[in-house]
Parts: sequence; structure tokens; C-alpha cells
Amino acid sequence: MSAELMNPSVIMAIRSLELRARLIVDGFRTGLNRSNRHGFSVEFSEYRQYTRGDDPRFLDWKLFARSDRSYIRLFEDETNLRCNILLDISRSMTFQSLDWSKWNYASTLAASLAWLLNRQGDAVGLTLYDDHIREVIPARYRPGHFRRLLVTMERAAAGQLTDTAGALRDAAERLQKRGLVILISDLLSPADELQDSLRALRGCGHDVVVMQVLDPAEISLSFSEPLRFEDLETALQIHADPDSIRDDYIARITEHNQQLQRECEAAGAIYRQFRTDQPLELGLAEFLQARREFR
Amino acid sequence: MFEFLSLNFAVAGGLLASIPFVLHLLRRTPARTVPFTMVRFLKETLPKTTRRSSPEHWPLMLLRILAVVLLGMAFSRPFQRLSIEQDDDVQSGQRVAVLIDSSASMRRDGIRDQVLQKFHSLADSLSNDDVLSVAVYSSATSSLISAEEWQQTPSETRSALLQRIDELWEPDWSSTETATAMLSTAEELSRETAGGGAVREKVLVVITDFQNGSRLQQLQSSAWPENVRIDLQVVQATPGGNAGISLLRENNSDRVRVTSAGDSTRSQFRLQPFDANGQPLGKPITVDIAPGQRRTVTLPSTGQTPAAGVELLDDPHPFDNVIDLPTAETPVRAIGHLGSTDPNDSEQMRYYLQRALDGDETLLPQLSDLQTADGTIVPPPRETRLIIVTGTPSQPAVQSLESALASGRNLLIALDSVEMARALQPLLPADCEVTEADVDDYAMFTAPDLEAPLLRPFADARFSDFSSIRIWKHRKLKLAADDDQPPRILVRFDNGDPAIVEYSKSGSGRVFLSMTGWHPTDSQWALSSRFPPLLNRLLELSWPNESELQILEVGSTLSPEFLADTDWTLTRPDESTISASQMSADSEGESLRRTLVLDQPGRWRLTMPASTGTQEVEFLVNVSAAESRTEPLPAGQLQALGLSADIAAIENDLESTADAATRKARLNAEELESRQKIWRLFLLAAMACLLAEALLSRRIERRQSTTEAAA
Repeated sequence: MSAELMNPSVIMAIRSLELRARLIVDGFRTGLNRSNRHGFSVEFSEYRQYTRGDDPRFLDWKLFARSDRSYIRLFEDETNLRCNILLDISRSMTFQSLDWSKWNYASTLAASLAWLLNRQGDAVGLTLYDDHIREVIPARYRPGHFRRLLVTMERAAAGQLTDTAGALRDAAERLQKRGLVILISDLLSPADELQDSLRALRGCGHDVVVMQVLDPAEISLSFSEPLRFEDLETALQIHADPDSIRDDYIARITEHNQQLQRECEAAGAIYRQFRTDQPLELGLAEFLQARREFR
Repeated sequence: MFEFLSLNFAVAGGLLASIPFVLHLLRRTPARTVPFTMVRFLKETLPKTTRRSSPEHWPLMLLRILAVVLLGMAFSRPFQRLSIEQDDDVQSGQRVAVLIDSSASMRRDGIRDQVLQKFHSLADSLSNDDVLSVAVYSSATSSLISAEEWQQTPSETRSALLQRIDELWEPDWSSTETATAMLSTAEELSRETAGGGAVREKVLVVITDFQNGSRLQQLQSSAWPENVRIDLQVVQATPGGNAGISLLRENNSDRVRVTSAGDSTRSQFRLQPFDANGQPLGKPITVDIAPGQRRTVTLPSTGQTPAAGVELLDDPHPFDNVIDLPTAETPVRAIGHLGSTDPNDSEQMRYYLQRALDGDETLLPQLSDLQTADGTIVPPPRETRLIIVTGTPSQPAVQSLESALASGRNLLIALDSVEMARALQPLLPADCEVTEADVDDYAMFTAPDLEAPLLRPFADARFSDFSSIRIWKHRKLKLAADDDQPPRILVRFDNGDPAIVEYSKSGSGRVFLSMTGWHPTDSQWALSSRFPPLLNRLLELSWPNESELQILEVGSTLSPEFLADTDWTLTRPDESTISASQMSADSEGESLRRTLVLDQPGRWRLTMPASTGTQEVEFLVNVSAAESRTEPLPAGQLQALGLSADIAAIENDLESTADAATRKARLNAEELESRQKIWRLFLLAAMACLLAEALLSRRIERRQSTTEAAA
């Protein structure tokens, strides 16, 4: 399967976010099942006898006038999934040791997911945050909505500090209808802060998928010479010799990620980690896998 | 090759040059700054320094080493020895002016030999091209050998000239004015242009004991000529230490101040009074005094025989140990008075007169009435020279006044009524007319004649205002228009009428006539601050030359007012005399000056004829107290007074010949160095190295940053 996957460097070389998303999704040939549940839409499906408790707005008043019978018009339900993507735009997302940054990778991943869901007819929303929520596009399924999401992501400026837990709490208050929440972030803030926010989201009935995007250099500290490291968000400077502290660093970051995973699982969320040198299709596969887990 | 005056700097420069080398071997790895996200997971490590076997950027290192070495060499004052011999060949000799201290402190034991030895060794070191002049100084400077005399004397016979110093140099009793002598001699030296060609160097050699009382302060406030170098040769007395005494006179009591020099070894001395024959009077007084301190001692009474002087015992150097004490009694100023005889009647002028005269503690006036309460006339005592008339006298009293005036006594007449003027008519100016003035509210004194002897003390603008004195009543004096010798109007009233006039009638006595009194009925004059000084001045004019005992220092000049008379005799302490006839016969100015200077300590007596017989004024002349402070000043004193070390070299008598040779060689080297100024070249080269270093390091830095950016 991996041989068929596209090299991320090829994908990331494409400037258009839309084209990148389409390429990834189109190349990802997995059966997409149309929803078999009825809903309320413009496309008529059938009539059904009105029973008490049905919404009277959907009564067929003309038929009632003609036949004095009450029928409910049923329409083909185009979507019943509302997906909200929470995308981290803090300054730490601009880090890159490859030719593309974590932000490039995360936004491409978000666009691909949005396109995939859009093609399924699901409503997709987007929330950009750093230390607070910067921009919110409610979940919709309508022509031009996908393009609006893309434009929003393309013009997003890098923020400052990160407060993922706060953003999740805000999102829990804003998202009235239950649905799927996908969090895409590098999740550098302490792991124990996340659990309450995740539980709040889950308590509102949302399914939550946490996608952590990390640069390979962040995982393995792949620097060869002593350097002065400057924190992208706090500007704190530390002189360190990577060769001498690498093992310690890897142990710490691994511990952090494992704790993240434990917190997510404890809150009923699904945790997936992505390296920016991994093919993006893996992300889609992980997403579908996660969806299946929720069902 | 170069030689160095301060080799230490060159050595330090060489040592410091190793620092760039070590720094170039040790290299601290420059840490590049990279942005990162997981900084809180990083553990900080210290930057590492690495040591290399070969230096990095060796051209840069060489430039830095060179700059340090060149700076060290510049500071070490380099010079080239080669040129000195050539200079010596070209240049002529040096101009040497020798000043030998001849003040009283040079009278101490052991100093004379040292002075002559230093002088002759200096003279021996001179070459034939050198020009010498010798002068001695104390409170004044006088030349013993002039430069012209030296140049005109053939070199073979100059030794005879030098021997003159042995005969002529003798310490006097004066104080030391070292700064004045040095400055005036240096000024002459600096202005002097050599007749025979260029002078290599101008040196002022001062042979002195350099004692604390040398009075050097003037050096601080004056500019020293740059082309004159000082060679200070200090001589020291054996044994060291000294104490001296000087006379203080205050409120007619005799007090002696004992001064101990800072290097005194004793702290206890004795004071022994002696009589006119030099025999001790009573037991000596013990005085405890720490070195460097001074103490004032009040002499006890010596009984019937008055002490003629005091001697300080237990001091190794006796030049300042004897002072004479005043023996002459202060003359009594007897003043006659005609007027009210009641001394306690505050409505009368006598009351205020008595109080004003009682306050004069220096002249000790004694007021005596010439007319008793029952009208009996008392003839004025012989010593009376001033008679003050404040009331209407009887006819015999007026006759008595006329005779007193004729015999040279002065009269002060304060007219309190027209009747008094009538009674005194023979003593008033000829053909004058006195009437009672019509005063509207009050009158004032104006237009004082400040040139007149009586009012001269008031010439200062602060004291010349008499207008504050209010006069309620006064008499109007109308003087005769055809008087050949009109009275001198000293003060007028504000309406222009004469207030006080001065004139003479017959004989040498003067009459001072006031047209108002100082008692409350007439005026507020007695309350004025001008009244006591006016009376005091009247006393001074009446007793002109024996006003006070004169205590002076050796070197003082007699005030010309003492010598105004045509016939006087001055007796020196050694009983030799100088008379006015000798003075007028000797028309030489120098001789006049020398004679009038009191150049010996002891008792000087000036005898003059006076109207009442012979008058004698006594001068007690002391050695200056500064001469007793004989402790030598520190070697750096000239530098402390602002003379640079290059100008002032101090040599004490302990310096050996080898030391002197070394010092001379060093002086030559310093002169060469200051003339060649090679340090400037080294400094310029160091600056050039630093400039090149800056350019090179900037280039390297730019190249490195480009490489890093590319990486």
C-alpha cells in the first residue's frame, strides 16, 4: 500500500491547497458509502403517514387539501454528519526542518479531510485558534463552502502562543449540534491540560479525533552541532549540544506523547500522530479507521 | 637600536603579547541560533571551548600581537643613543645659576661646610664652556658672581673667583624667601640670551637647607619658565632639630612663643630671663612642647630688676634662642582740660571726653583738669602736649593757654557759647566774628577735608560720612577776609559755615576750633562712632613719634616717618650708630637701603630731638619665627607646588658619586627622549596595526556570516 502512496514532497510542491487536497483524496480510493438514512432536503424521496410527534412543517398541505389526509414528505437526507476541524495556527506550527512546515502539512491534511467529507456530502466547519479562537466557519454543506474553507486556511496568519485546551472549551460551547470534531495541532502544551476539555466535548456528544502533527526534528532532535535554540512562541533561548542531550530529549518527548495518548483515550477521543515526512493519505486512512471505531 | 627610559612598559608589552596568541588557540564555538518548538524539553548545556594546536586566523593574531608590542614600546619612551654625542659636539656649554641660601637657619652647625663642599664640587664639574653666576638670598637676593664677570675671567683664574664665595658667603639673620629668589633668578635666566652661541641647558642650582619655613607658596601661583631646570641641593644641619622663641606683646604684657621644629629630638626646654648685663634672673621656666608644635608662655615678674631679655636653653642651635624684652615704659599721654571739673555731669563735654579717652588701651591717655573747682589755675604738666577747652576760661587761664600754645602744645577748643568765644578771643583766628547760629530743626557736618592730617584716617569712603551727626546748636564763625594765613576749614555745617577749623597762632602748636560742642545740649556728636577715632587721631598728632613700642622682624625697613626729622641717631644692637648726617652724606641708593633695613636681631634705638627734649623710640627686632621651623621639607615638595619632575630634580647630601653619574645619564637620556619623541612613531604604527586588525576582522566576520547563511 505504501508504494502507491504519494511522496509528501511532491504533494507539498503544489502551491494550491485545493489541488493538493483533491489529489490526495482522489488518489485515496476507498469506497465512500452514501448515507442510507432519510433526512430533510430538496430531493424528494417518498410520503409517509403523519403520526403524532412529526414536525408539522413537513406536512404536505396541498395533499391534505385535496384528500384531507395528512402525509409527511420525506426527502433524501444528503448529510447527517457535521464535522468541525479545529486547526492550530500558533507560531510553533511554522517550524520546519523539511521543505514544508507543520502548518503546511496540517492545513493540507485539514483541506483533504474537508474535501473528502465534502464529496461525501457531509457538512464541514473550520475553527482556527492559537491562544484563543481566531476564526470560526460553521459547518455547512453548500456550493462554495469548501472554497471558503480553503481561502480561510490560505490567508491565515501565524498566531502567537497556543492554548489548545482553551480552544477546545470554547468549541464545546459554540458547537450546538453534535458531530465530529477533528483537532489538528502539534499539541506542545502540557498533556494533562487537555483531558478536561476533551471530556467536555465528548460530553456534548461530539466524536473527537486528535491529530498531532510533528516535525521529524522535533521527535528525534536531528541537529548535529551545538546550537542556541530559541523558542518560537516564548523567545526563550537555551544553549544545548544535541548530541549530549538527545537521548534525554527523546525520552521526554516520548513520555509527553504517550501521556497525550493516555489522556485522549481516557477522555474517549482518538489520538493519532503524524510526522510531516509521512504521506498525507495515511492521515485519511487513519481518519476513516477512526470513524469506523466510533461506529 | 633603541634604548628605553621605562623598560617596564616594553617588558609588559611583550608579556601581554602572549594573550592574543592564547586566545587564538582557545576558541569558543560560536553557537548559531535556531528557532525551535520543544525548547522546554531541552536541557541546557554550557558552550564548549576547544583548544587547537595551531592558532586560528594567524594574520589577525599577528596584527594584534604587534599592536600590543608597539604600544608597550611607545609607553617605554624609546630613544636612540647615537645622536647624543653629535649633539654634544654641536652644542655649547650650559648656563648655571647658583642660589645659596643665607637665611638665619643656615647658621646652624655643620651647614657651612656642606654648602661650600657642594658649591665647589658643582664648580669643579663645570666645563670651560659653561657659564656660572652665583647669588645669595634670604629675604632679598644679592649677586656674588655675575655671569658677565665669569665670562670675562680667563678660565685659569676662575678658581680665585670661586674662592670669593668662601669669604663672602655668610648667613645673615633674615627670613627665607626661597620662592621669590628662585622665580626672579629663573626669570632672568630664561630671558637671558647667550652671547657666544646656543646654550645647551639652563640650570638653576639652589643650595639650601630646604626648611619648612622657606616660603615656597609663591611657586604655586607663578608660572615657571620651561627652559630652566631646577637642581635642588639640600644641606642638613648636624645634629637635627631646633627650637626658637619670639616675642608677642598684647595688652602690655610680655609673652614668649616657643616654636619646636618637626625634627626636634627634645620635647622639654627651659626659658631663662636675664638682666641688662646678661646675668640670669631667677630660675629658668620649664616648657614642654612636642616636635612640630608651638606654645605661648607668659613671663612671670622678675621682681625689682626688670628682665632685659629671655634665652631658650637646651636647644642645639642657638641662632634663634635669644630675644630682648621692652624696657622703656610706655609714655603717658597727659591731656590737660579746661572746663567743667565734674567728671560725672552728663550734661557737660568732660563727661564724654573722659569716657572716649578711657577706651583707648594702646595710647593710655590721662585727662587732668587745669582749673580746680574753686577757679585755681594749675599749670599744665611738662609732658602735656594737648589741652582741650570745653568751658569759658578765666583771664589767667587764657594766658596760660597762650603760653602752652607758644611752647608747642596743641589746643582743641569746643565753643559752647558766644561768651566763651569772647573770653578766648586771643586764641581765635585774627579778626574773626562769632555769633550764635540760627538752626532750623538741626544742622549737619558736611564737606570734610580728608586731606587734612586730622581727618586722614577717615579718607576711606566707608568712614567719610559725617552727615549722620545731628547738631542742635552751633556758633557761626565769620573769618576775616584779609587774613594772610587763613585757618584751614576741616569740616563745614550744611549751611556752608565753618564747623571745625585748624590754624596756628604762635609757636609750633596747632589750634583745632570746633563751633559746636559734643554735649547733648549742642549735638549728638559724642554718640557718633566718629568721635573716639577723632580724639585718637588728635593724640597721634600730638605725640607723633613715640606712639608705641615697635616689635619687628629682621629684614624690616624703618618707616620713613621716623626719619622725617633732620637730626636723628639710630643705635644698633651692637651699639654702633647711624646718624642722619651720615645718611645725607651717603647719596648711594643701595647704601641707603641697607642702612635703613633692620638687619640684626636685638634692641634698636632711634633718638630724635623733640619739643620736650630728646625722644627715643625702641625697636625690638626678632628673628622670624619661620626660621625656627627647620625641619626639611619632603623631597616632592616642588612637585606638590606644581613643578614637574622633569624640571625639578632634588639631590640630598647623601647621594653618592655613582648615584650622581646615574642620575646625570638618566637626565641625558630623558633629554634625548623628549627631543627625539620616537614614541610617536611607535604609537602611530600601533594605531595602524589596530586599524588593519579592525578591517581584517570585519572581513573575516562577514565571510563567516555569508558561509553560515549559505549553510
